[in-house]
Amino acid sequence: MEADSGHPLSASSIGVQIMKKKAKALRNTGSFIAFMGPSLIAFTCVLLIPFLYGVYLTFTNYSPITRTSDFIGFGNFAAAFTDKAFLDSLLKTLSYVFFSAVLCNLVAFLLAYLLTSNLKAQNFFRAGFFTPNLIGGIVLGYIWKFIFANVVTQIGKSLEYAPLTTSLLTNPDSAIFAMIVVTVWQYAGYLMMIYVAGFVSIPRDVQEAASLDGATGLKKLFKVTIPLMVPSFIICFFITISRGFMAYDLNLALTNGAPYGSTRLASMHIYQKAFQASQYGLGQAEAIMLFIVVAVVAVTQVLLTKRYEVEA
Amino acid sequence: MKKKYGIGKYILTVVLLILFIVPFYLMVINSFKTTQQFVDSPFSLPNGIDFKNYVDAFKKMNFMGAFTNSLIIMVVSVILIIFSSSMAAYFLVRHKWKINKIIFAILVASMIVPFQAVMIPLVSIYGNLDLMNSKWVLMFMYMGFGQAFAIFIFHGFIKNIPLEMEEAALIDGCNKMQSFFRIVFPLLKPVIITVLILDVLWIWNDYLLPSLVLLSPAERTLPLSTYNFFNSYSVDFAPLMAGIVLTILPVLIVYLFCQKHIVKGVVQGAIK
Amino acid sequence: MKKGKTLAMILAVLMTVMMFAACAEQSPAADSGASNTASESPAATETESSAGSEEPVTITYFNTSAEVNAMFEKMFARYHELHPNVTIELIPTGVGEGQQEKLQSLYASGNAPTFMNVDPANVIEYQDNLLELSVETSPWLEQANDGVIDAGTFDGKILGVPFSVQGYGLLYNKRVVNEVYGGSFDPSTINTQDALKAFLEKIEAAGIPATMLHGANWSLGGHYLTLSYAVQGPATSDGTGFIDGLKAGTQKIEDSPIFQGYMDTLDILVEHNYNKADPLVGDYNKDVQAFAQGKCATFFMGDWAWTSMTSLENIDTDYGFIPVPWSNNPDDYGNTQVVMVLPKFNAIDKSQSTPEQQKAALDALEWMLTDPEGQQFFIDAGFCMPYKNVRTDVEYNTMTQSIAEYASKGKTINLGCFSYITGDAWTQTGNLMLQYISGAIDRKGLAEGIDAYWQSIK
Repeated sequence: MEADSGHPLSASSIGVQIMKKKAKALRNTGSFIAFMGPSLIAFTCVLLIPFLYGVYLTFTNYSPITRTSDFIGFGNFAAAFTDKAFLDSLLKTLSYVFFSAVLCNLVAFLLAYLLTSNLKAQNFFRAGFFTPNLIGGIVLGYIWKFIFANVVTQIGKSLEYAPLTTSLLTNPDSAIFAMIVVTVWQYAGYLMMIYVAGFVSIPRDVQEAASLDGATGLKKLFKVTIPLMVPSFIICFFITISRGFMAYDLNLALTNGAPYGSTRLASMHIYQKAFQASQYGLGQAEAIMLFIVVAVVAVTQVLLTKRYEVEA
Repeated sequence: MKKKYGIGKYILTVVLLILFIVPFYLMVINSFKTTQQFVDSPFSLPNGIDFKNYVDAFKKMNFMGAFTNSLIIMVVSVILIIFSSSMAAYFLVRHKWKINKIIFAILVASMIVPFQAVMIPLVSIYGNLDLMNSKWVLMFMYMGFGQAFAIFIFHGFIKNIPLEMEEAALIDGCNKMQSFFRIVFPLLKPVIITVLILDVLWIWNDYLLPSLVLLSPAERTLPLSTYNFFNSYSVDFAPLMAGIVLTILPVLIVYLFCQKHIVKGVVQGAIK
Repeated sequence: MKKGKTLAMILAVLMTVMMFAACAEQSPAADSGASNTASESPAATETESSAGSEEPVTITYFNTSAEVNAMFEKMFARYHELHPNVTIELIPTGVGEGQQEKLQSLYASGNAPTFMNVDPANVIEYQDNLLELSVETSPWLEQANDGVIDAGTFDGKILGVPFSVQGYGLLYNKRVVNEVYGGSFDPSTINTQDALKAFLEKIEAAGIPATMLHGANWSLGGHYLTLSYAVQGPATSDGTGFIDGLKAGTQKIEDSPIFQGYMDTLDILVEHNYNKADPLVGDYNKDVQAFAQGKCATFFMGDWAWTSMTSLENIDTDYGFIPVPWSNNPDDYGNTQVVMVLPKFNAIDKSQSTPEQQKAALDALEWMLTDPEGQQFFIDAGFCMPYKNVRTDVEYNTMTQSIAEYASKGKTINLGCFSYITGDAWTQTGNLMLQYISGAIDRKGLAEGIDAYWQSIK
């Protein structure tokens, strides 16, 4: 390149430039394929194509049983917009997501902070906080139902505090709260991992410089550490928000909508529409609508938090 | 230095740990009881260590066969995910092309697709191509489903790796692939461990996807065989909990093992 | 170090290649082994089935009775010993897993099971895909008890055959009740609402909680509320006709005296409910255990509760059923009867299975349901089989025995309309019932909710 630059008008040099550009483009394409190929092929075959096919199905009256479908236009979406139960479940999901995302991140950040400040046996502690991730499904549901119905009520009785004398799961208002508690319990250890990685990736010289400047304890945390961990916050909030909107397993294991359908979050509603009420097209259309809602919320969150990102 | 761990902090950590570990503790102690004892008094210690539930679960689950299937699927899937996604993330970070930005946006967006929205299309496409009932196809699916999250995490960390070292390597005559694997990949170690742990956990414990793809009994994974052989209305919890403890024990060991490496990685990073 | 990384990379690439190679190999193998649907010309059918019987054939069985997955595995292994050319693969469904979703995904992927054990509602939903059975070509069907084939007949076609019959009503613990009554309790005296009320009050006066309601939507919506449809009349069409009226909006459930009667009875039960303090906890293990330990005298449940008691120690084993009366006239239908229901049906797929496979499935079903060796598997698992040629010397558990006694006297409620309560009816109406027993809505709200649900169903 440098040799040619002195003779911009020479025909041969233009030719060489074009060839070099072509060669560069070719090389770029080559490395694009080498680096991105496996990833993109798998992603496209497994997620993208089925998703697009799923979007197409919302415009049909597809039945998985007969495997036939006729094009019916926007009928399913019109039905989704008038499905009051679906809109209700979306609202419930919004408040569930808000509180669980905030609490999960608070607790996870606290855990990560405690576990990166020179604690002895921190491996053991990290493993301990992580164990909730290892229990899922019905066992998780059963153990927590038991705790809410028996342990918490014992505490409520001894404190003579009426709201705690019956299981939190049998009252529509407190059942959502109980779900948030279990969500925090389950996800805090998981997010803690990401926050721990964030903490340890803060260059030590920055921390030491802050200490030398006289910043200590909380001041250092808020002035130095937290601003540098904005990327971790972005990731963790994104995870909690998106998982929160899609929460299904925990909803199923813990309440399965109980009491009387009041804790049915959006995914569960969609699931029941598609598979129990056999309205597959409607369920699929509601799933797409949920996807759009989550996309809007999650993108807003990322854009808002990105602003606070600083360079180390 | 003033790096001592205050007593207040210590108590707080221990109290939190107890709150977090109680359900796990309940599961382990109750896996040594009968279901009746569990329902009657879940907090009491078992009357001695009786491995009957474990022996039952081991037999019922066809543990060794299911363990082998799970292990093959998990190891291959996780290797595929880590290599393909770290390479892709690296390329996306280092080439700020328009197309790359679009690809990254699509990947991030895909993380919020509810699984129910792709489930039926997925099985219908792969079923019609006669690609069901194979663990190789399942691994490919994990590779596909695992991309977005892993790329997302790698992307964030690669951004912070300074370019100079790679440039030096390129001048030394390395090609891009070599400079990635010699320079960048080793630097990613802490985050690789993070992705590894999260993906190992996800794939090892996943029930839904293998239940859709693996139809023949010989292909069953651990979660499939755990959940298939327990009563549905009244769940016989004690042997089920033994089965689950057996299922998660290998992951717990892997996790503790990886923890050591995280610390090592941290120390290395600090020295640098 | 560097070598290690390069090696790892080569390994990864190799694995990717291997994977695709494996996929490529997979396809033809899968083709020859598993079912193929599209190419079913009649000509091919004949040649295949005539040459068929000795060819190895693999069929699949989808089971929704998760508690007996292991029984089916053993049964199919034995069948394979007897018929080495037939391999039956069990597709089990697990605890807490969406069985509907699994079956739909199997159909959507072209891997439909050859035959299956499913809920009656599924038989209706999948009826276009199911093989019609006939007594002419399958004479063994005549072994079924009276009414069993009728129950499996949908729109005039025999599509399903059951392997068990179950019953529900008000279970009572004989030891506890007899202690209160001084050993002289006769369940047939509970034939009116007032008698039930007096009975419960007498037990309560002795210091024992009189009854227990299980706070789950399947129990109160699927089982209790369904009584008010089924008792509309002894024929299946009485119940289904009533539901059709609800769907069309021509019938308001509030106007049905039977519905009102059952809700009055429910109010009585709620008042004496063991779980009164927190009625919606719905912990099945705990409820069954409490009943088995004699902590309450009666329990609205079915004979399947026995299965959950087999692993318990130090419990009572002598139980019987009491009807759930809804009025004060002992002659009213429902006041002296308990419910008899066929909870599951076996059906054969015709849409994605070859005629060869269908034939193999039909033969296997004949062996399972009517051959003494096949029947023994079900008997050992505690099922009461509705077939004439079943062993008569079987000693059932006391709950099943009680149901059988009612059946022998003809004192059963026909729950035929149960099959037509499809989709999410259990969940939706059950949720309303739970709101009702917890006091969140009143009778009027309940009735309006039930009407609204049925009118939303097409």
